[in-house]
Amino acid sequence: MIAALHRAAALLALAVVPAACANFSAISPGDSAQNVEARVGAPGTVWKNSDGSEVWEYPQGFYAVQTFMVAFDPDHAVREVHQALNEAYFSRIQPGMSREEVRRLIGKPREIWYFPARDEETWTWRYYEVNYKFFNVLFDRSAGTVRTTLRLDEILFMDGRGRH
Amino acid sequence: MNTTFSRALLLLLPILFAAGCANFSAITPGASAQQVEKLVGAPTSVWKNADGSEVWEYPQGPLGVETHMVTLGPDHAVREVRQVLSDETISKLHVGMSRDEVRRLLGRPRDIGFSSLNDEEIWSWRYREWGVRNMELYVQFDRSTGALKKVTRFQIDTSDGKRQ
Repeated sequence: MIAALHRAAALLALAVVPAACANFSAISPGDSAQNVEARVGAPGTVWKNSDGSEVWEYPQGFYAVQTFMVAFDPDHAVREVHQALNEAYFSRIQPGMSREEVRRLIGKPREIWYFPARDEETWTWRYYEVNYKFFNVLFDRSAGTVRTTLRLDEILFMDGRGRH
Repeated sequence: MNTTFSRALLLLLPILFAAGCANFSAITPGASAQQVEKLVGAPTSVWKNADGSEVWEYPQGPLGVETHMVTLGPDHAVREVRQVLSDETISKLHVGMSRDEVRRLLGRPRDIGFSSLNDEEIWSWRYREWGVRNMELYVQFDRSTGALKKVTRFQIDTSDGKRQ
């Protein structure tokens, strides 16, 4: 009975750990696409460039605070790997940029909200910098271009309402 | 030319000032409905209660971060004046509340949005906490039931973007 429980727990641990800690730091420049797939699975989205190079995008889920980008050279070898949800990439987002430009910089948002009265579309990413924060990009919905960006610190109610 | 411009500006200033700072603090309990209208203009909405009392709603005052509610007794004399975009009022929100209940607590939202992920309606307000922190409040409703699902508050972070 207890042994069975242990076995179930062991199996579960094996299933949970790879999903939670896909090992992006183990990917090094020069690795093959097969190697990458073996380590971290198939990407959420593949961005193809005209020169034959590609970027594989790996969002980590609704509650996650990281999105990994794996860039491949035209010869299908890894050029570099980076985590896109931080200020280094947020600060590159400028008014006038298109949805695709934003998407290619920092990946798929966790959620999109529409505000018809302002003809606005708000894309949200969760990230971590000292605290859990949210990065919002506000688009002019008709024009499809960035209006502005917003960084938000979540304030939790004392009773825990507002938690994610 | 320059002096004409300055004179025009000087004339304009008091008007701008008056428009931006409707003087709710000058309304005292017992004041008449007419006096209220004279001081702060006509309300955006009037809520009538069963006992003959009324609540006059003045949303998005100066800078869009204040909403005032003036309660008049059945005798049409002012009972109380409250600025409702505050933590105190926000803490009264709870899961299951209707749109009407929320509207009567906090007044008209600054904006209403919709989610791409689920059948949700998002009401948003901007307010100031302790008179210094710029806050963003989101109240999410289930659109099919019309019931409040979630309340989130954020402090708008103005430092990050300028830090690099």
